[in-house]
Amino acid sequence: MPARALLPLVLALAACGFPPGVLERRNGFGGRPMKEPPDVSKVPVKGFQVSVTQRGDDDADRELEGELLAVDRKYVWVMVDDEVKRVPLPDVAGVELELYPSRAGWLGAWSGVGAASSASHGWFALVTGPLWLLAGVTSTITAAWANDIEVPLDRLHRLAQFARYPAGMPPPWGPTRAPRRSPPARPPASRPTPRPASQPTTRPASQPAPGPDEPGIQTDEPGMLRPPAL
Amino acid sequence: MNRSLLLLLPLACLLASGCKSTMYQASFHQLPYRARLDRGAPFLKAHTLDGEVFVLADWKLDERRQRVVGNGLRYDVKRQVRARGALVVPYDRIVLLETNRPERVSTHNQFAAMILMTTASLGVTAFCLAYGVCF
Repeated sequence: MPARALLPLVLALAACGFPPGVLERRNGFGGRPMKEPPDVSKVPVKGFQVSVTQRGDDDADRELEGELLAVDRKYVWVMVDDEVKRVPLPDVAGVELELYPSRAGWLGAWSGVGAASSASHGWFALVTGPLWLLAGVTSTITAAWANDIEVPLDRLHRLAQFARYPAGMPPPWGPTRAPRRSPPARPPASRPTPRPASQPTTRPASQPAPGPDEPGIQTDEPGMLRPPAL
Repeated sequence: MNRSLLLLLPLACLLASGCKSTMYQASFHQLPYRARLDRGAPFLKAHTLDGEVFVLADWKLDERRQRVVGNGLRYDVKRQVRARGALVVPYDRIVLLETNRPERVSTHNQFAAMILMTTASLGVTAFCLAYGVCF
């Protein structure tokens, strides 16, 4: 029985993990659509958990773990222990995005209890004990990493889709969006209003047109969604 | 032994339900491009300039009065609930619209392996207790 048990175990563990395509949230996560959507209060309104590795001045990397707040042209914003931290994009050495809670702790505890229970197997414990350890450790480790995806550094701007503020940081933490330089000029005190579809964006001649990989939320249609202007 | 294994089935089903997570497909559109919104999505989030977000079900765009209407919740910048029920969001407050479709995703296949292991282990325990040949 233990040998037969190993095959589904290996197959199940091999099926873990997400393809890199999940960085585009419009593609979904490869799951099955729900016929009965959950209550509206269950829809998450916070950012995903991230781990941002920041290059230090003294070659010592620093790691920030917390909720992803926003990504703009200059910074990755993270909430760490109720404190807002920002990391300049050039200083980002790596980002890991947690798509869902791993529950690795549960599996670790389950494995421990299971391994201890093999004492009730008598002589068979010589086989079932190590099997429990093998299955438990493997499951715990794979659970710990299967829920994370490593974000390529040249795709950092796509992270905005997973942020609490996908359009950029709001004023309480300091606006990251300055008044647009495009006409018509508005008085500084006025609140910015969304640009009408018919109004083209103008920019200085020296500034290149936004490409498909600019920071901020965008769609595949050029100009459909622009990153926050700075 | 077969009976004890049958008794484990509800437990296995309960644990197996923990192998799936609800995740949300999302599409983002700025207001001028609202015509491309996924109108069939069950949820619409209206992100405002000041960092608030309205999460709406049964939502629709009221073009005549330039606003979004629906039933749901309004969260402040710290994501505390500030209002619930029938809500109206004027277009001039919105900086980004996000549609969400929930989906069930198999996320914890390791649980299936552990359930299998637990079932086998309990089977061995039951065998040992029944026949007393293990010690």
